[in-house]
Amino acid sequence: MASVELAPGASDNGLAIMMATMMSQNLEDHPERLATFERLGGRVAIVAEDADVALTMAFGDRRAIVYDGIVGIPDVTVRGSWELIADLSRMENGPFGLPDPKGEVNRTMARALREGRLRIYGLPAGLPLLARLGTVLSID
Amino acid sequence: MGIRFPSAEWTAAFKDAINANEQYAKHGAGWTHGKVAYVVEPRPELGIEGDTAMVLDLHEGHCRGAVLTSAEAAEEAEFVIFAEYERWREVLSGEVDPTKAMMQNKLKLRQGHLPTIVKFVLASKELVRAACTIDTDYPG
Repeated sequence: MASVELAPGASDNGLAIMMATMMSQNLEDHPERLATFERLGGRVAIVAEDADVALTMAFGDRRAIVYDGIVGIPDVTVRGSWELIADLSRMENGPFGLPDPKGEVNRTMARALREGRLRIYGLPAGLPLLARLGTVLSID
Repeated sequence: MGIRFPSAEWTAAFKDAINANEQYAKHGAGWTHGKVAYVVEPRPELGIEGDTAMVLDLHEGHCRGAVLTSAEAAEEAEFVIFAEYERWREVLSGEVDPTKAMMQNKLKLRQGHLPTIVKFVLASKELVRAACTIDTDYPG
């Protein structure tokens, strides 16, 4: 049984609550994404730099635990402004679960990556983990 | 002298301001997900005696009604967002974006489907822009 939990101390972190809620509600709405969720393994850290908020999502054994702050050694770390972080779940999916290059949000994200306003550490090794997480979090 | 927040008069002015906002009509056009309640936590020293709620009946880019009520009555709304008075003042005066405030746990979604809120993030911004047009007297 897949589960998403907030770690002790994470219940005061709004971003952690949002990520845990998004994952739970998306999995309820899209049970076809459960298989993708269950294949997630590793740690993803997200830092909303101008909101002074960070979290770590630890995936494994069909569970996700969301921690306040950076916990352990993340496989992938995403850093950017709160607006870019908020847009992560609004990225448009294209064929085969990959980001649609024509999507308005995706183009904004690509521009932010090129300009260094959004930084992703841990690639290319972490690309499958990030792509699967994108599928689970997407509101598309 | 502006209109005191929160009050029935301010709530009515909010409804008019939303309906005057063409950008809200555009970005909220797809909203058929029910009422949204903004609950202000008590601040007796400022004259806010129990939880006070503004319930907005939003539908397809328009506000069909807006009432000031109790937090208990507001639970009938599909979406219920709680915050302290000071946090609402920051958000509704445009000082802090509502999504950023949620990431920082200043606004708390107590009830409702977060992916839907995220999908309508631009409409949420326009609700705040509408609130900013009201000549408001924030006590304290």
